[in-house]
Amino acid sequence: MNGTITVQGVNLIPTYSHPAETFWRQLKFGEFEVAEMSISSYLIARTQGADMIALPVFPSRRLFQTELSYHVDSAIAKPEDLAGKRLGVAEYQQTAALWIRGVLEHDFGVSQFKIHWYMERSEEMSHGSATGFKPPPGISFNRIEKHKSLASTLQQHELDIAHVSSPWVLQANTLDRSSRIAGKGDWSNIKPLFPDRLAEAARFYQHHGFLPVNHAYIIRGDIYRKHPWLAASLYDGFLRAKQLARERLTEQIPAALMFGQEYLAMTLALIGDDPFPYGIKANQAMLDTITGYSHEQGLTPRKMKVEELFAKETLDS
Amino acid sequence: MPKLKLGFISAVNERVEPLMKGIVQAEAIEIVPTYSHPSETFLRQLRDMEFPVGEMSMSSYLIARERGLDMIALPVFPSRRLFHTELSCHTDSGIKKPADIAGKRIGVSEYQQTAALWQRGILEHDFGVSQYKVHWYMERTEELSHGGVTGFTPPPGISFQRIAPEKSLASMLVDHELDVAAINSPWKNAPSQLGRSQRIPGAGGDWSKIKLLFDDRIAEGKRFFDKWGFLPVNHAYTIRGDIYRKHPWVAFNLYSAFVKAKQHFNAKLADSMPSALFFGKEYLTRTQAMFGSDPYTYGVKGNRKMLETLIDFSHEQGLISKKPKIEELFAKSTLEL
Repeated sequence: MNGTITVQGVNLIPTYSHPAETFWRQLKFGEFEVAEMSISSYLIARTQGADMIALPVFPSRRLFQTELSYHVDSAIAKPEDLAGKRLGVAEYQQTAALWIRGVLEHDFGVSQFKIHWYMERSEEMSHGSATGFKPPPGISFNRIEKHKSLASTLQQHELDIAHVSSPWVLQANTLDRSSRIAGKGDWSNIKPLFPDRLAEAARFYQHHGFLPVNHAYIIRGDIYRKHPWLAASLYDGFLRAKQLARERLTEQIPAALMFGQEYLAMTLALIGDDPFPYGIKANQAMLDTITGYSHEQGLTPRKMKVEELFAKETLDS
Repeated sequence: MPKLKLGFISAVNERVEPLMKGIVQAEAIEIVPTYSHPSETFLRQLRDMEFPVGEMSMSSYLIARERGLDMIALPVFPSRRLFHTELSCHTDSGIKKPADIAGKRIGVSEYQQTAALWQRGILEHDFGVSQYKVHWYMERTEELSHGGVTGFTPPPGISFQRIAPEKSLASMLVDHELDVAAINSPWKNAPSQLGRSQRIPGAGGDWSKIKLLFDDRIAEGKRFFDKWGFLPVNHAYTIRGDIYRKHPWVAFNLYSAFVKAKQHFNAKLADSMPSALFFGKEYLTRTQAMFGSDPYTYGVKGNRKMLETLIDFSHEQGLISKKPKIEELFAKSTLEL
C-alpha cells in the first residue's frame, strides 16, 4: 500500500479504512476495484450473485474465541458454561462471530441454538443490510439498543459475555459503538474467557492445524473480466509484500519488549514458521472449515466450493 | 514565535522518535534531526562536535569528560539492554557457562564502548571472571574508533589485541579464532563505517556452532534485574558546551521534551505490537512483570544506582583515572529531576 512493493502493470491508489466500513461500502456500493473483504460476508454475498472474485490472500488471523470477555457475575468459569448465556458480537454474520460459534460448538460442545445472541450494529449500518440478513431459524437473536454498545451492556451485565477485546475496540468507526459508548469504563468485573491465550492458541492450532482467517481481498467482477491478468499479478504483489514484512518483522518489534526475538520464537514454536500462509493448498483445511461453519450456521444455503470462490488463475497456488 | 534551531543527531529510537519526527516539540527549540548509527554518531561528536545536541556513549562520555570534552549530558537514557546476554560462543570453545570464559578469547567492537564495559563488569562481579583473565579482541581500527579520539591505550595488565583489518567479529568467531564475541546486538544488521561484521560476515564457517552464552536470556534478565534493580544503559544525550553556556535553558526544555516523547510512545506501546507476534500484549505483560511498567527511567534520582555502578566499572576497568561526581556529569537544572 505504501509503494515499497509494486505490482506489475498496476498503479494502486490506496485508501486506508476500518474493515467494518470497508466491507459496508464494498458490499453495498462496490466502490473499489480491489478491496479487503470479510470472508463470511463474501460467502453469503456470492450465494446471492455478488459480482466479485477473491484472491487467496489472508492477511489477518486471530483466535477470535480468545477475544471473548465475560462479566464476573455471569457464573462463567469455562467455555462450556456459555450454554444459556447472553453473548454479544458486533455483527451476527461477521467472520469473527462465525468462528466463535463454530469453535464453541465443535471444540466445547456449546450449541449455537443454546446461546442468546446480541448484535450491536444497526440494521442500516451493518454488512447484513447489504446481504439481506435475517436471523437463521431457531437462533435466539436480539439487537442491542442504539444508545448502548457491547462495552456498555457488558459492564452493566446486560450481557454475560461479549467480543470486545479485539484490536479494533479503541478504533472508532461509523458502524461500531463501543468506542463511542464506552459505558462507565469500569472493566474490573470483566475477565477474558481464556485467561491463558497462549495455551488456548496451542490447543486450537494442534487440533485444527491452522489459525482462523477473517479477511481476504477481492477484485470487482467488471475489472476482473476486463483485466483477468490482475488476479495473478496482484497475488504475486501480496506475496512479495508479505515476504518483505517478514524480513522486517524483528525490527518492528518494540525494543521495550526486551526479549522480542525470544517472544517471536515462542510464537513460531506454537503456531508454525509461517502463521500467515497464502494460497489455496496451504489453506485447504481452513477454507473447508469456514465454508462448513457458514453452511451449518444457516448463513449460506449450501456449502460453497473453494473453486468457485477464488480467481481461477490462483487455484493452483 | 522564533525558535532556536538545533542540529540533533541520534539513532532511530522508539522513545525519542516522537521528538525527532516533531509529534512532540521542545519549548522554544526547533530540532533539525539527523538519523545515524550510534558508532558513527559518537565518532563525529567526540572528534568534531558537529551537532549541538546528540546521542552519546556513556562510557566514552566519562572518558572524554575527564580529558576536558566540552559537553554536558542530560539524564535521558533511551536504550537499555542486557549486554552480557548478547554474547555468543563457539561450541568448540568448551564454554558451557559464563565462568568458563576465564582464559578465553572474547571479541568486542570496541574495548571502551559501554556494552563492553557492562560485559566486563558483570562477568567479573556476577560470574567471577576477572577482566585480566580474558584475552580481549577489538574489531574497530584505531582511526575509526571512539578510542582513537579519546586517546585509548589498553589498560595496564589487560591482554589486548586488535582483529586484523581483513577479518571481523563474525568471521573470527565462526572460524573459531575467537571463543566468545558480542555479535548479537540489534545493530548487527545496520552497517556502519566503523563495524566490519556486516561486510566481512565470514565465508565458509559453520554458524550452527555459534550459540548464545545464556541460552535462556529471559531468565538471566530476571536474575540480573532482581539483583541490581536496573537495566544497563549505554547511551545518553549531550549538549555542546558553547550552546549550553549561551542558552542554559535548553537543557531543561529538551529534558522535558524527551520525557513527553517517551510518554507518547509508552501510551501507544501495547497497540504497536506487530500482529505477527499474536501475543504481543501477553509478552509485554511478562516483560513488565519482570522490570516494571517503565524500565526506561529518566532523570538522575531514578538512575543513581545505575550511574554509580557505571562509574565504578569504568574506574575499576582503568578507563578513567578518578571517579567523577554524578552532579558534574549532567546539566545542573536536571539534577533534581
